[in-house]
Amino acid sequence: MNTATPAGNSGPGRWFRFNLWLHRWTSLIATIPFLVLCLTGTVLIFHEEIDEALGTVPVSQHAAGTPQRPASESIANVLAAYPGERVLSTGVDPEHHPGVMLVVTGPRDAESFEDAKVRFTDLVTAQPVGDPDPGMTFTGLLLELHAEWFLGPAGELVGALIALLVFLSLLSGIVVYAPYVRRIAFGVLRRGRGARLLQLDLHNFIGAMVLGWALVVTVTGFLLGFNSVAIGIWQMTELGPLRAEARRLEPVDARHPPVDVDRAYAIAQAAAPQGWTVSTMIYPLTEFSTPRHYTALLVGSEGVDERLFRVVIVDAKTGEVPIVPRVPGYIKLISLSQPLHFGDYGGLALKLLWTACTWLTLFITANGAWLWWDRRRKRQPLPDGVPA
Amino acid sequence: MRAPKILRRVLALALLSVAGIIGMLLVDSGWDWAFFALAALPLAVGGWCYGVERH
Repeated sequence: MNTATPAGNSGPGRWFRFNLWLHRWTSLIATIPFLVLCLTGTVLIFHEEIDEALGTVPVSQHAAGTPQRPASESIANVLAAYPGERVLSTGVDPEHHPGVMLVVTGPRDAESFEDAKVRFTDLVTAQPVGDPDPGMTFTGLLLELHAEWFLGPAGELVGALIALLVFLSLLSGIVVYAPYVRRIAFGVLRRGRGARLLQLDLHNFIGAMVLGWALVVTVTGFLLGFNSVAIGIWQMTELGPLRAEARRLEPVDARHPPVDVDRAYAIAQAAAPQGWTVSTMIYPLTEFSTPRHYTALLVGSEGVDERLFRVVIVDAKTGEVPIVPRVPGYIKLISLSQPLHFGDYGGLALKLLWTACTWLTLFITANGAWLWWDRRRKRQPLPDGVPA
Repeated sequence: MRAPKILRRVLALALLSVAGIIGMLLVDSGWDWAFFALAALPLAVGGWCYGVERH
């Protein structure tokens, strides 16, 4: 929000001037990256529809309810098709990818998911389906730009910094807006009195309309910027002791663990709380498991549980469940931040609301920068001989 | 309308919008439309004010 002439008989106070300065500079520094975030964010709101239209994720041709082959058969077929690779994790997502299994593979000696590729198999035939050499998808590329600025985990912190700048801009904008509404009622646009006043009114009017949405998106964007940091802390604090314990045990062959993936699914499901289903099974010897254990990720079936996850550890040699690690509050908070940031949890209506708010925010970001540039231009002395 | 009242209303609208956005995620589907209405309330009020001002 912006104002040209702060109210008050004795001129602007220090608190007002500080907030005006803060609003101006936090907004200006964040302008270009924020414009990129708004543009990529608009596309990412519809990532499910775009992926479907582009055929990024293959769809099963079999009717729901057709008997399915064991998951281990899918894994064997994937390893036969890609002999130089290992499986890092497998997963099912009946809501978004019905009838197919997602098999994440990496180079034979990989422990990290950094160079991972997602393969798909048909759950009915256990045969690989879809593009045999999937590259970066369009939405995947945009997500990498939006979330990481193509800088990897360090880029997430850049995103958090931009979110912090925008958050400060919003809060200081409220302070700057307060004296403005003493003179200009909400919704009033001063037409016919110059471009500057009209743009100023539009900036304040639209800023007031999108304030709540923008606060949610910036706070969640800030939290998401610490995603990798939070997972790293979780790996050290929750998974660390188990890894230390696993080092004393005999490791398993991570390509062919003695307890196969179907049994691991069944064991994890038996240990799961009611209403929670195994969605992902991370193989032994990865950054999210130990050389001896599978890590099963569970999702809830309804309400907010659908957005959270729980973890069950399965011994890949004995089939025992040595521990059900707790998921700390900060991981839950970050998990909930994702839908709140992308607005993909309330159907098309919410996506359209998100798009409208994003575009309105895009407009006031650009017109705020124009207001600053216009004021600066008018303050500069004209060269000699040029009529004012 | 007095300025502090307008500011309070703008802030109340923003808070209601935040409540709607979060409520829609946390509460099960029966209340979805009520929460969506709250989330979209600032845009609806803004659109209405803009319409009144135009006429």
